[in-house]
Amino acid sequence: MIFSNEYLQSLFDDAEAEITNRLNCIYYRWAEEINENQSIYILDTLVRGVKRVTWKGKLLIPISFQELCILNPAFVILQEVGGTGGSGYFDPTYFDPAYFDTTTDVSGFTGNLGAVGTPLYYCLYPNGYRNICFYPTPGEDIPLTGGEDPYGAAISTHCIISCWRNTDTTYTLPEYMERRTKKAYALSKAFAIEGKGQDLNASRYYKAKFDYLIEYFKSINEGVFVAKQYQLTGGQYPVRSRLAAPVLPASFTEI
Amino acid sequence: MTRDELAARINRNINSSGVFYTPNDINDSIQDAYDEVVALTGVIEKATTLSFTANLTYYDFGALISDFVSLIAIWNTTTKRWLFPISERKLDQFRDNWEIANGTPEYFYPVNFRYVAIYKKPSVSDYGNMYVFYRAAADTLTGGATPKIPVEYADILEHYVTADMLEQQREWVKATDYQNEYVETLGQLKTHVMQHRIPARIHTLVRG
Repeated sequence: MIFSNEYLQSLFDDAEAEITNRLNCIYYRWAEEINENQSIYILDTLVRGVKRVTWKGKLLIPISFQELCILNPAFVILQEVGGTGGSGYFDPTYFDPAYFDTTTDVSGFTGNLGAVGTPLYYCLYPNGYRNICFYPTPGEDIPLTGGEDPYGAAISTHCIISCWRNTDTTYTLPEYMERRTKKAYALSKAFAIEGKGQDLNASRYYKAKFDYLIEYFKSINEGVFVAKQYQLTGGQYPVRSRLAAPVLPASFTEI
Repeated sequence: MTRDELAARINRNINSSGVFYTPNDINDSIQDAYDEVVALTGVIEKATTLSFTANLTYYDFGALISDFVSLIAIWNTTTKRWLFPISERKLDQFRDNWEIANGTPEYFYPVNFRYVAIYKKPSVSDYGNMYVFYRAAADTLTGGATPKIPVEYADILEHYVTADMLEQQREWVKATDYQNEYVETLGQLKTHVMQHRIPARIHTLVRG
């Protein structure tokens, strides 16, 4: 056997990553557990890109870190807990307003750093690839009891994060395209490796097959929204020109 | 053309009489071809009845409908009106908390290949039903079954399977010829499906 089963399985796994890398197709939502006075939350590694964040149904506006610093310059300082004057261990997930009260001078800043209340904005925090930061800092606990339905009832009571995610055993590519697309990718890679079994013609053949399958699936996934507006006409294509209007003859002003 | 007739034609193309390929090889490949052609062109259209669920905004049609590929339209049987397709951006312009709005379902927003959001969501459990018109995945063929593909495009399966059989024998040049014919016919069939339904009417495609 030229290609072992383990090697081919690794190529199939790579194929899944490549397909989800080329187009966002696996949609996922969950209710995030919120802790009072905690502004930064670390998202799971399955998240490829945040699509939408709502707070009890209300859309949170995505902003950049630069815009967050304009809103509140204190956010330039990364959060620390423990110790004084910059000492202590670094924990990017916990914002302790008491640490920055009027009696404690930290790195030259005094006063409370951040507003606490109902979040209106969120941004991807720069101290971690998947850290998301709410502003204002949530001022209440929203615990999870299990069984929350992020597609329905929990939207109005929880913080719901929607994202594009990677595949796993539960969240898979659609059956009608998964097997053949992964096969084309795996064979294009397998036939390209150096050594016994290399066949560059085969590799190019399967790569072309993989590319066209991806494009067709992209048209299915991204073209799901097609707003067709049917109108009754005489069966002829409309002439795209300006609206009919009376036109005076060219010699109108001539005597 | 039935599946068995198609298999006979393919065996002639590749000059095989069960020597290089077993009947199961050919039949499996025909099913593969049928699955792919139906999914990529949307040639099979079906309708089903689902119930509106109280307080549910996002419907997983991929789980609710076993052979769901993509959505065509939704009819609200209570209001006797079509639901209008809309984009997420337009819904955000209506109101920034549209996901929790209760009321009469009027719009639908396809999120991806399986999830569809409906605005507004009914707050009562017995609101009514919706007719969902959708493009379906291919059924499983038996020997005497005829693929649900327009007869003028019936050779598309033959092209796919012949290419598949040749590539298994590493005959890349020959397989490429059949593959190219397959891809070209696939595009023609897709265009045919998009335009055939109401030829006397003008379709205006608007992306919101």
